[in-house]
Amino acid sequence: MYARQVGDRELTFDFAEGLLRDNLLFVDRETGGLWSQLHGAAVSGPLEGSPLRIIPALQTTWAFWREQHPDTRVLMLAGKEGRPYLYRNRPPGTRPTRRPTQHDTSALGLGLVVGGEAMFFPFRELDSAPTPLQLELGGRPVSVHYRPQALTAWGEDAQGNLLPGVLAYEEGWKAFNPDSRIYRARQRQ
Amino acid sequence: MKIPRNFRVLASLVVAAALVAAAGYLLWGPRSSAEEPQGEPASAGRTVRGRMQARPGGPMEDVEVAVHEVPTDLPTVPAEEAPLEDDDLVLGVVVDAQAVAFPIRYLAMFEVVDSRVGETPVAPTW
Repeated sequence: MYARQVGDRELTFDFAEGLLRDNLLFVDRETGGLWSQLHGAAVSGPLEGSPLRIIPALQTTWAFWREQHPDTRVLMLAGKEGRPYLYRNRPPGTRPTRRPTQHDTSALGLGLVVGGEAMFFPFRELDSAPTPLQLELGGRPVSVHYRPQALTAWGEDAQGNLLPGVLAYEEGWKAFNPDSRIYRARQRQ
Repeated sequence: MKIPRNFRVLASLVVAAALVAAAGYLLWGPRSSAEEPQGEPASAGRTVRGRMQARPGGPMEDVEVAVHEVPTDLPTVPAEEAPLEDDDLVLGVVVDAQAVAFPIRYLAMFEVVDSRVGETPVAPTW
């Protein structure tokens, strides 16, 4: 989740069909510049190189989010069913079905960048890890939480604040963070 | 009557195709609008040119690609009015003490939407 503004300038994004490192591109209506989804910065146009501020967000199930935030509001798109995406129904190694779109959870994980240091926590590793993990990232204490039933993981700082993070596929994460460390549960046991 | 071999092969292919189509219908049901690309159609010829990949795994090249407009400032409703199942995925955020859930099933239609939480303009993407 990004704040769609650079300085005081508010931006309106649309979806562009091209890709950068196999990741999505957006285009802003105000300048016509292209923006990389995972990079979170303009890659062309007058704002090239400008980063968007990341707003820490949690991707999870509706049940878990509602339990944590009973007063939440929900974005609505009246009259549209949308495209149901299910992570849970596709066992690792099996072929995807057409409907609903399904993903292979074995390649999914949590990506964090703290103090300039990137680390990826594959769900398959967190499955056998004692969570919450306590570790140091970018010189700062970080805890990593994992809720497989809620299909989510997230990082918190020492004060319990949600850290900017992304649930991503390991290959996609490494394409944008080639120096990222990869968490391995066995090395820590 | 002897049926030409070519005709038998052709007939077999037609029957096989029909079986595959029938199996697909039984497994997945009729195609509905929910599975069609639902983002707004490419906006009346609106395009953007730049150096990018035109297809997954493709080389970087100077190309012109279509732009799809996405919704701006869609409404929100209280949790009890949300037509979501427990296992629906959402992207949740708390900004200015206001919690908002962005259903992935909607984000998946557009990849990004232009929204606002409290006073903050946000771009939830997935």
